[in-house]
Amino acid sequence: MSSLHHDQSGFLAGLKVLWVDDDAVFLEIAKATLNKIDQDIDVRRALNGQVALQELERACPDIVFLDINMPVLDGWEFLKNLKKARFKISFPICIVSSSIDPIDREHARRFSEIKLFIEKPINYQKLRSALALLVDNSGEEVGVDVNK
Amino acid sequence: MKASNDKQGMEARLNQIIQQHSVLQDYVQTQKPNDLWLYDVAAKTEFLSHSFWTLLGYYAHDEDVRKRSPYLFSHYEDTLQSLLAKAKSEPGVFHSEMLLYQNRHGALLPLKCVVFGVSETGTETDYIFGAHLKIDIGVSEETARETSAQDGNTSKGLDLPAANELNQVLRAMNKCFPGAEVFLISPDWEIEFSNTAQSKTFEQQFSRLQNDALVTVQLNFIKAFEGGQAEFELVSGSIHESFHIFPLFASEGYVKSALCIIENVTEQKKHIEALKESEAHLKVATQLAKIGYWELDIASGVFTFNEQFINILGVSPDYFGGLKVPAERYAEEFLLDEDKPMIQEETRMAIETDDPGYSRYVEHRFRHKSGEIRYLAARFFVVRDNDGKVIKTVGANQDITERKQAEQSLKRLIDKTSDQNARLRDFSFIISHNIRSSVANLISLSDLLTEQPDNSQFVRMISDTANNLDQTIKNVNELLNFENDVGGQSRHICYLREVIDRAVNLNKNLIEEKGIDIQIYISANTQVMAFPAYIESVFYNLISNAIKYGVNENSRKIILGQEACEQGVHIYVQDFGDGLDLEKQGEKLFQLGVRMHSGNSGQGLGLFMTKHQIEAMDGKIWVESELNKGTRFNVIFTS
Repeated sequence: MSSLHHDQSGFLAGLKVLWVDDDAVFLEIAKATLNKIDQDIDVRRALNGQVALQELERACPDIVFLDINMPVLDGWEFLKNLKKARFKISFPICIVSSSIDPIDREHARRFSEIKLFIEKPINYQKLRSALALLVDNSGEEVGVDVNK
Repeated sequence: MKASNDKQGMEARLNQIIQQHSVLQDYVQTQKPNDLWLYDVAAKTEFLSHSFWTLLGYYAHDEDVRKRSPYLFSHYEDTLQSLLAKAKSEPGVFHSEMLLYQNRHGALLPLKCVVFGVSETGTETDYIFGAHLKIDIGVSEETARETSAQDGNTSKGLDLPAANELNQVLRAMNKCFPGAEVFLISPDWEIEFSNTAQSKTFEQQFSRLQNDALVTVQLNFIKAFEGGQAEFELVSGSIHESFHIFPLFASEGYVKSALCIIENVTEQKKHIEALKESEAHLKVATQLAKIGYWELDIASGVFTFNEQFINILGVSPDYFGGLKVPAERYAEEFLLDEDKPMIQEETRMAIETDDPGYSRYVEHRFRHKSGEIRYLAARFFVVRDNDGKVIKTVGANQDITERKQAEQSLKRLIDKTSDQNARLRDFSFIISHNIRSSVANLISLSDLLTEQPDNSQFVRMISDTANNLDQTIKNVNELLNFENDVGGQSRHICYLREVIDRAVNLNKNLIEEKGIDIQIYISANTQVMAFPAYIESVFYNLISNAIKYGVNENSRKIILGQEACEQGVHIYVQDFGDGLDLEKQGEKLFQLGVRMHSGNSGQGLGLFMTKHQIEAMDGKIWVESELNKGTRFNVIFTS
């Protein structure tokens, strides 16, 4: 389905995004890029899995962008903890990493919540396509990459 | 041929047989043989009377259990056997042959041997009656004297003319020494007989010899003329000759002539030399290869070693009092307790095996006499008796210590290299991840800056990312240097208080900025033997970690202290900050690329390097921590 259709209808306004990455500079870039797509996207940031879990307790987002290699609680540990969490997981998860190992892709099949992989760097086009897929919830299958 | 144990019984039987057979009575009375003997066909034993031993130069009282074989020239064994066979197949008839003996003193003793088969049933030969008669020319002075003393006269009951007897002796010599030169020489140096040349005198006979050799031969002939015998070898050119010189006594007791036999032993010598040489080569080869041979007698549990094996153990045969060593003693003194069950099991398997081609190869350690632990490779097989039962294990052992040591050092090198490779692989993964992250940020930021060239926040972020990238590259260098350094450094005395003060000083700005209270309880004379560069790095990392991650709003205190320790010097770095969840993170703490705290400052290298540096100095590091109470890193430098 074309992302332009959603774009034009302004469907992204008010979208709540949680972005989990240990790189503070990258989080700034992600927020700037998302807000370029739509000024009204609500972007919350977490520096590791532990902080992300605390954020989720507070409020449930529409989409989670997740890095794998992080201190304290890495991406996989975060996902395991998520399954044990009290709240319902109603949001799709997108893995965003600077290097996607085939082993990581295999690993990801264990988590039905993972809908997408994105490899860094990110840019306007890549993120917009990703959002279109995730919001439309059409990328059920793990391994749909948006890398352009 | 066995000597009879029942001597008296046999002697009685001999007398009985003579009484029963008038032909034998007549023979004894008329021929007066020098001795009589009896052979029991069924028992294959013979009785030789003391007269026979007197002929050979023994007294009556020391004749017990002797056999004739050592005195009979070996070539005449066959003659004797064929004579017995004739008596057996044709009883009731006399047969005779000359047998050549050598008496106790070395003189030749030709005896006419007469046999007569006696059948008690009338069909098969049960006993063989035997007699010896002296032949005149070969009677030694001593034998003659003893025989005279015993018989009261010198027997001359010969039925052959003297010349024939001499010929028989010479023929006998030809038979004993085939192809040899045989001649008789008189005390006035005249050649009386020669089977080769027509020489008349000693000089002619030995014209081929050089002066020195000639003198040797002459001296030995003189010895024979005086009643002695001689055996010696001469080398002329490439020819080796073996000389045997015997005195021949007249009945009156003087030496009538000397019998000389010369054998050409050149070929034989060559074979012996070749054999000696190859034996010598084999010995050198086994010594060089450190190969020892052994046999284990299963019934007695006693080893027989060769000298080389004993040398491998670091002792000499004197140590064991010979080459035989009880298995228990060998195991006790030379085997290691850990290896004994395996060796016992191998021995058990060898005893119980049904496999006809059973052969095993085992390697085990042994304790060399010097105390050094060395390695043996043993290859062995089994020897069975007629019933197929294993009676021996026989093997060759090789000292393979040098090979084992080389293997072990190779293994250590491989382990070290694999370890290093694994670390470098992990590290390159982390580095590539970090570089890629920074580059990805730079690409994204340049996109953003294209659209908003004036955004100062983006410019600052470019600068942060560039610094991050720079730190990553520095880490690559640091780790590569660390890998190169391992093993290439030498230890020096390091005063820990000085090292710690320097590390604190390097963090001075941060300490002041954060208002940290560092307390150091380490005395000025605490010292360790260490690689100075490593020890500086270890304390710099531990202290800067404590400064970066060990302080919070509640505590700004860091303590460096020392604890009593038997193994060496125990130092700790303690903070009272957030602490770590060791259950979750304890295992990962010292792994490469694992960061315990968020933010961009750490790349997961510090504690990994610290641990490896401490271990490279044979020390150890461990952590104690509790959430919200603080963390304590402990280091022991072994003394």
